[in-house]
Amino acid sequence: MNTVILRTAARYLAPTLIILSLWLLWRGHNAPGGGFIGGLVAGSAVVLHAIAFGPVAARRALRGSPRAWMAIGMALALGAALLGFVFGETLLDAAWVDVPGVGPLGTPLIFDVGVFAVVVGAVSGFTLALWPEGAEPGAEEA
Amino acid sequence: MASWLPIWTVALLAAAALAVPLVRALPRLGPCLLALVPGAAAAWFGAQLPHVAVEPLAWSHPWVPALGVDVHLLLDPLALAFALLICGIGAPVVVFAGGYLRGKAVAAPTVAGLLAFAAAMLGLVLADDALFMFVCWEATTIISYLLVGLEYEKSSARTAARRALLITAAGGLALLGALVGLEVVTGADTLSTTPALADGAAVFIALGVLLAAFTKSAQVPFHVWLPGAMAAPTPVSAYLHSAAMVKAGVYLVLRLAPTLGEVWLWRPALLIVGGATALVGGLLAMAATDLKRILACTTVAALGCMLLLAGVDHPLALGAALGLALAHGLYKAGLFMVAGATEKVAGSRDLAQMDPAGARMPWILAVTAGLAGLSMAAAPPFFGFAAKETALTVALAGGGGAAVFGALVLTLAGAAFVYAALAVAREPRGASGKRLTVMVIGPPLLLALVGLVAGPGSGLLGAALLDPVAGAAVGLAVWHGVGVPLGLSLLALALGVVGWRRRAAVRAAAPRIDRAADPGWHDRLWSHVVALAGAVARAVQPVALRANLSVILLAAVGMVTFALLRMRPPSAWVGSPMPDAIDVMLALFLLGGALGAVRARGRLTAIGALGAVGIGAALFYLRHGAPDLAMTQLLVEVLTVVLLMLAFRGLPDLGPRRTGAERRWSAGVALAAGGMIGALVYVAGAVDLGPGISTWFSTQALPEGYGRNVVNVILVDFRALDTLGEVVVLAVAALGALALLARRSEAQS
Repeated sequence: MNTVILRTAARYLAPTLIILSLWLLWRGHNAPGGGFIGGLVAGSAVVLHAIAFGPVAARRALRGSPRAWMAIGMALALGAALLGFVFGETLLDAAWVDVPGVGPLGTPLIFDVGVFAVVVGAVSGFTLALWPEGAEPGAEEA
Repeated sequence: MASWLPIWTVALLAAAALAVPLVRALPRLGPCLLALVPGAAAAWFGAQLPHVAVEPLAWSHPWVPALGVDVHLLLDPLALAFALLICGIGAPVVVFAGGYLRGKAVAAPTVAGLLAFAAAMLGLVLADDALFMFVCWEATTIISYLLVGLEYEKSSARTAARRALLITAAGGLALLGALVGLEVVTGADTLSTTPALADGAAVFIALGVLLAAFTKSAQVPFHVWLPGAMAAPTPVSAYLHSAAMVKAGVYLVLRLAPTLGEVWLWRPALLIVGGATALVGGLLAMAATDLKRILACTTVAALGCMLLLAGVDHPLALGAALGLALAHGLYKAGLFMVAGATEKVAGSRDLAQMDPAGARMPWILAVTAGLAGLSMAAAPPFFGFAAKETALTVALAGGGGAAVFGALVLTLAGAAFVYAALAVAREPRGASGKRLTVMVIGPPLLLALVGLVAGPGSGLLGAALLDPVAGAAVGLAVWHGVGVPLGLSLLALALGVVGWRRRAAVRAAAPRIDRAADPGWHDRLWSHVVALAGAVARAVQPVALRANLSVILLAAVGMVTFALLRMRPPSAWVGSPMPDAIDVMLALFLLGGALGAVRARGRLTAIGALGAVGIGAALFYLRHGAPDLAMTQLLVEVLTVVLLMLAFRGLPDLGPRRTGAERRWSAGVALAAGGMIGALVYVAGAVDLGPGISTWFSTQALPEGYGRNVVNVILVDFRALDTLGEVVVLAVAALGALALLARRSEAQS
């Protein structure tokens, strides 16, 4: 959609959504939010970027390919799960460190970051793959 | 020393994991370095020879303590013999694979697969508990499927891989049934402590074990997968179809013979099926002209001989069968490598395409082929001869009709081996002057020389390995004196030579032999299964989306209704809280959205209206204390609308309205599905299910999970395994969709 209003709004909205998604991810353990919800919000930001500036720009904004996002996310989640063997007794045993001034940090947070990345990759992957051919800004009819 | 037992399996797995980058980086040195792992394992197992016969090594480790499942490993003489075979032949095969496939894309995955296979196979023969053995058994099936199908661009390789998988996996199911039965009947923790069984359920256990062995070791009528599996790269055949995979069935029979040997079914089944397989394999080998097919068919025949021997009612029979298994692994791996080298030099491995007047093979290849071939032909003083003489002696000592049958089969199969050895070693012509590298010719030459040395040394080898298995002196030796076995050996030699001289006549009959020996039952069965699956899919998954959804929804409604009707009235109905005014307004909003979706004429309108329904549901969640659920629902709804618009925007508007009957049907299905969900929600809310686990979650979230958001603590900590699974499912679904959509855009452009 090649409208000035949308583009101008998206220029500010998309970064806001990203910050919102990170905030949701961070606070998720104590208040509504979490990796899945954060990932959906960040994915929405990518979708918004794609609607305003086209899929090529969205792909660029994503930095890595959706596959890479999913791979990194899976690696993080699996890595956090395996850390359970190191710090605990079995797979997914959580380990926590109390960081003064920040609060307890633990392997579940790494796990949640992994979920976040997988969701971002999946959402942006679906969207960009479904994007119609040749639908760059300007080439859009309505 | 026992603590070393698991290390070799793990080391082989580690080598397999390293193999792909290592072989890609160092195509020549890499395979040689990796071969050190099975080589070192073979050396270690060899060093255990003297004391394992006296005192087997045992090792165990808790596996799933919650279920009381332990891994038990046991190195007794039988396991040691197979471990030596697996590692001792694995090392040269890995080197050969590196040399033979150098420069090809499949080189690295082949080497990795071979090492992984060695790990699985070693686990299989070392396992002393049924569960671990079964896991390794299935692992060999799956890795063999991957290895046979390595060159998956060829449809012949795909078909062969699928055929091998389906037949051997069916045997795996039979084995699972048998092992569960064994556990239930005897209650024994380990295979070595399982008492002997004789009747009752033992018949079914024996049947399952035999089916597993017959499928894995390519016995009639399951032999059809093995010749086809020659579509695999030659190094794979040199390992799986000589020393490893196909020997698993033989190993299983030898391992469980003390337990099941007295079941009435056991010996006759082994004798008849083994004998028939030996004859069929021998005939097929004589009719074939492709070198690898000849070798595959003689493998079928040799496996038949081993199982036949295992069925002979004689105290030394198991030892004799093991002797044949060792000899066969030694010469057959070498011969497969010779066939690969011949193909490299002559440009073809089909004798029918070779010019009889062409140049001879390079002398080193001819010598290697000759040495390995003489062992296969059971010529003195090779190891093959020693094993064959012992086999004949034991078979004859069995007494009665079985002795005559056994001797006849062994002699005829022996003649086929002589014929095949002559064909492989003497016939290839048309050397193109290509030079063989050390990595290609060295490994088979080494194995052939070992076969030569092991002949005179067979007395020592037999005493160390075979005698403890048999529990008595098997008497493996090169010279058994002049007697009936020697006479039969000479008869087999003469028959084989005469048959080879008249090979033109034999090969002219090849089409008839092939048809008789492999009537194509598997392909017919396969096409019937595919047809049946297609019919079922058409019935329950019609192409029309409306019909498809109707089947799914009505099935769900039916099952839930059945379950609700069977449910006993609960002791306490809590009763649902009365909806307030806002709830009613939200419900009306939802109804409006649903009606809008139903009445919409354009697709985008319908999608938008559905989105409104989803948002209404999210508001419901928010009002009733589930903010996480509400946020997720809201976001998913928004993204779904975007994705559906992207997917549907190219499509035309919805067609003309359906006829009255169609609309009534759709409305009925929709109302039934909605009613079902409503009933479920009502029952779930109205029945007092007790405090359950949710109280524990909410009280433990902060002290145990360091979080005040119970939902998130459950997701990433208490039930993180579920989340891990869901993340994997999401990623796999996304990857699948990406692959499908990428193909769509390729097709468009």
